[in-house]
Amino acid sequence: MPKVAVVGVGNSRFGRRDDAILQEIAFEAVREALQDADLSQKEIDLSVVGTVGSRSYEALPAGPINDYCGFSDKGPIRVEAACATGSAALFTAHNSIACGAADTAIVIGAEKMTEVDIPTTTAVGGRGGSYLWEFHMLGTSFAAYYALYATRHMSKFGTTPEDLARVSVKGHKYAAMNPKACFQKEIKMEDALNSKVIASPLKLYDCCPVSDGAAAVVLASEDKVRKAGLKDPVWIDAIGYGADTSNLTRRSDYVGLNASVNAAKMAYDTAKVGPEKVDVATVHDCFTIAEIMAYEDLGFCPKGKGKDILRDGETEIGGRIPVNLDGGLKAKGHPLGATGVSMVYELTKQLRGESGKRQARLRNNIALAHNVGGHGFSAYVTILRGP
Amino acid sequence: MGLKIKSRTLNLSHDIPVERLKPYWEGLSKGVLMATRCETCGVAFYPPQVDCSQCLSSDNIKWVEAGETGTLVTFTESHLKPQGFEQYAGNYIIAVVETNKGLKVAGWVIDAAIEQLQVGDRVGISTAILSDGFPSIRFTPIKPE
Repeated sequence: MPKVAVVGVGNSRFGRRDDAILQEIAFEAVREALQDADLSQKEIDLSVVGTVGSRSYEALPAGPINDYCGFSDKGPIRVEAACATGSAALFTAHNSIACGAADTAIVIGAEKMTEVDIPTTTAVGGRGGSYLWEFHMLGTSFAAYYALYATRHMSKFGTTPEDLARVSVKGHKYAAMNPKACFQKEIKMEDALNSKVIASPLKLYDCCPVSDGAAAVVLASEDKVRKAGLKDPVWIDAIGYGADTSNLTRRSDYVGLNASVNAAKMAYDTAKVGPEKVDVATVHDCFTIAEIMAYEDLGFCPKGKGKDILRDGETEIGGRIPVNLDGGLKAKGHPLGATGVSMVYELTKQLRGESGKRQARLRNNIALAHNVGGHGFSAYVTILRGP
Repeated sequence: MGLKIKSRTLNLSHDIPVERLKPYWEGLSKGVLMATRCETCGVAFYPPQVDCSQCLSSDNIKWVEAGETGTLVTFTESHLKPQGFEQYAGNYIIAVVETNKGLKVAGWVIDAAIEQLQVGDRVGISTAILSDGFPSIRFTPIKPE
């Protein structure tokens, strides 16, 4: 497959953004990405907007976003894959370039989630499975879906509330060093353990915040990179994808996500690398249990051992495979459409060596982004190679 | 806090045509949880569906009971009340149960406190119509003899 590079990245501040509407937040990310790429809108062939949009007053948000950002003539598509929307948009733009339909593309992931009240946002999220058989009768929330995984994982492998809290403490630690993250302060184990129950065994500090935010990346073909002399390209070596049932009761078990396992296998096979080559990763920690399951599903450790590599600090800076050095969804925030794009923002900065005190040590120049849709009915694993 | 304006209200309330799934919805009011099975290829479906996604046939779908007892696969007590569930008092326990017919079903555990529950516990399966007219799938712990 022809090679495609990330040549510019941008990220708005994540969190509760009472100061701006959706397209203004998208613009923050787009401007930064274009300036980073040193390209103007007229040099971009295609705009792919990733937004879930189900909490928005805009029924079709991609149009207003493209208009505001100067892409009204470049944006024929809006992509949605629940919480993996950003990666699905990246996949769409990447494939458009790889097949020759475009030389350059911008991926804009944007979401405004805090403009509706908590019962409404909970209901929209809780309808993220299969409505008739789940939300209609169960009153599911997204926390409840992941809590079902947590109960099972803890019962089967001895993962503890303290292990869940460790994920949260780690996330907050790095978020406090990331000016774009929602939470700007560190927390202690007791803060997490003593926080109120949301959906047992998950507590408040086990849950990512309802967030607003945007991220953008500019992609270019290898030909374009060479001809235009674009600097520090980060190569997309693979985008693996996987999927699973929307009905929770049709899953074989609740200790990991088949979609993640399959996406990872495809990505590793395509990129011809294994998990041992990954220098730094972002994983989909919408809830703390999700990060522990991700370690296992991505092959960073065997199934059931996620808690052990966490306890041993292997996923911290200086560890064997640092994970979520941007604070993760948990502490950076999780504006649905933006998340997958923001992961590429973070890893591009890491691979360029621009992450300052959050910088991971680069041995193989390989980074991995893992983005899950819904309660595991889709997943994307992207493998990036540094310049 | 800066200037904010109110959006126009949008109410979404759907009339869902479940005619093809009538045995399921009628079963809920009779206390029986129903599933479907394709007699052509033998695959059972829960949630029920009237078209077989395996053999693409819709001619040999039979309604069957999903099970009367089962074991707890996993559970959570939800402290969140999504819009549409504000009318229920207290928290509710959502669970996935593997039934005696080998299907997995989801519902609410009743007559039990969360602290008393463990993965693997046996439960009875029933259904009910709540006072607001919505159906409910209920799991009741079976005490070991």
